[in-house]
Amino acid sequence: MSDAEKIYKALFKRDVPISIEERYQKAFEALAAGFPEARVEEYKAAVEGIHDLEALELAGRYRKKLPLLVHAFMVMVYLAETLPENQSDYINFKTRRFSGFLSMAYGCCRTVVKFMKGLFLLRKMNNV
Amino acid sequence: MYDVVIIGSGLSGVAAALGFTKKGIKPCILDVGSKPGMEPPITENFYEYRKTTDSFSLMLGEHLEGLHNLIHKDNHLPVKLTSPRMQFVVRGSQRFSPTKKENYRLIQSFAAGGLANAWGAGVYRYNERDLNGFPVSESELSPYYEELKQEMGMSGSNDDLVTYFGREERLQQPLELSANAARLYAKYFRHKKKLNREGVTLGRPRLAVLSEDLDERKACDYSNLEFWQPDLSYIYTPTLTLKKLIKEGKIVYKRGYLAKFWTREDKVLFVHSEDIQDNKIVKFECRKLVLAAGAVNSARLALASRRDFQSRLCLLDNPALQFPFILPSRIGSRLETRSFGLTQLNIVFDFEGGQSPLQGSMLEITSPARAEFFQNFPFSARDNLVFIRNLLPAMIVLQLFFPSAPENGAELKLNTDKELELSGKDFPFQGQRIKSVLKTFRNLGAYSFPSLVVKVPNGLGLHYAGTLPMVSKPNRPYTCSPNGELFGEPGVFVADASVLPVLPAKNCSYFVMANAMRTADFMSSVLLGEA
Repeated sequence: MSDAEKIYKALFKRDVPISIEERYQKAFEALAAGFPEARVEEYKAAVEGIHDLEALELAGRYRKKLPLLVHAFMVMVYLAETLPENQSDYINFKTRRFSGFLSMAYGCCRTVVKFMKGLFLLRKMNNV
Repeated sequence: MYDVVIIGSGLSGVAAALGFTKKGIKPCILDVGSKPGMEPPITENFYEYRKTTDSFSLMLGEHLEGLHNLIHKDNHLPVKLTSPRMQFVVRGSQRFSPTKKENYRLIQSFAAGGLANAWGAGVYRYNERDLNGFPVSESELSPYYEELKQEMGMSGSNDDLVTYFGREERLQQPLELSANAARLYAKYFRHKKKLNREGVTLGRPRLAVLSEDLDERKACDYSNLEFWQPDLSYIYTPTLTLKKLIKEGKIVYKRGYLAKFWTREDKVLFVHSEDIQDNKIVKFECRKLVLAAGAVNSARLALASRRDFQSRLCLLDNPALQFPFILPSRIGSRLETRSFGLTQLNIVFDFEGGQSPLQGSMLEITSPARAEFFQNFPFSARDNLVFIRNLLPAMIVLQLFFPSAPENGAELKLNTDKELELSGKDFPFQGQRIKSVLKTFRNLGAYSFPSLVVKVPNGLGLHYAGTLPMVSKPNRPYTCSPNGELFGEPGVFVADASVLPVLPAKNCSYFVMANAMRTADFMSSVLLGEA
């Protein structure tokens, strides 16, 4: 599985389109050029070794760790928005007040769980 | 030899050129003149386009321009200028005007039309209160405002804000409000008396944006393309006037030249300019020179021409805060895909009567990419997308501007390597002010928290001014007379925002254009008299 596939799956739970995979590769090269080698290695270790990248990214964002992984997620969010099939992941085309509130409430709880898991994964990575 | 050379083709340069042509003088405009690319324009709504088309080229660009702020973290651009089709506005700025910045973010443009290619199109008259200390009165500028209004086309209304923005006749109808703005506006009328007593006034913006067709220009189609496409026919930019004047043969437009400094021999001025294709210096001869390169570059030219590597000039910009507001009743709503993506409403906080009021623009956020907001949410990546979908349609952003005076301005200096050195000062925003603004918006049914208020980095107010201030009796270098003539530099006039000694909390573009026309008018009478 490529980096792009893992990050895309963490975000959207589906397979990455080829166009995104190619564009991610190019964008990542440009992004990584601004980071020291140690950060790139850290990113590679995270993407290769950790299954729940979403949890790890969240903990990294709060703990100011794994900056390249945090940026890689942002890059993927930008890239994915450009595809027609992803529009409904970013935009409400219909009013959904009740389900909107429910999904946000669920999102808050889910974030707490992901954060705890992310902290655990971060510690595990540091120990390794 | 030219009668007049104008440096720069932004709002002030083009307004000055218009002023000269009305008096029968044919000026020469010197300009680097970067232009947008040749991509075919998008002709449908931004969101309809994206439903059917891979919008990678439009939103991020083949060279990943849209990821600029992620990839180049030390050179942050306003979001609109990261859009691939809008990046021509700032292309080459570090090459053409090298700067060293400390606690300051400077955005410069060498495009034809200047920074106004990406402006918010707010056009506000300066009233006597705004012009306090400025040696020109509102009535002297009034005829030029009228001419400019005809040239640009202007929509808006003479509503409660007329006290602050002045009365404008022959305005086009204001643009349609977004659902969020309409709710706020309706609430304002319910609480109007109380809010007015507290010094708060809300109203429709005055915009150089068409709500009705004007000549060949089409009215706003609410396509949400404001961040993505240059030269939208309904938003006035100086390039419209520039193209017209070139077509009519009323000006000489010298594109591809970077003015470096001027020298003089008797009454003849020589503008030493770099041909940017082959880096050779070319001299342009003229009788009069107009500096309209923007507050920063006009100052650079003045310093370079005097070979002055010591003087420190003051650079003003409006300090600003950004407030994101949520309208709870709109959470989970459908995103308003048909909308005007810039200023919806203006709000004025006149807290202290006598002092300059604060002015804010309430911006709809339907035009930027949704991904732009991703890092503003504190949830896990997938849950951030849930919040982007459900909260963004309920959000509106207030950009609140504060007045600026020399005591809180940045300092600008030219060093011996011909680099500009800029150092900014932090503006003392008062917590009490922030609380008052939040309280006002609670009355309007919009909510936010002090921790969500973002200070706009120094220099990103994008209203640069004050480097060559106009005073009633100039007696030192780098000041100019009420006619715009630079002290100690006969024949050299300043027409851009450099002339403002203080900066009210109000977009200065309309004032700057009117003042440029006034300066051109004076210069024309001198030139015609000499002839």
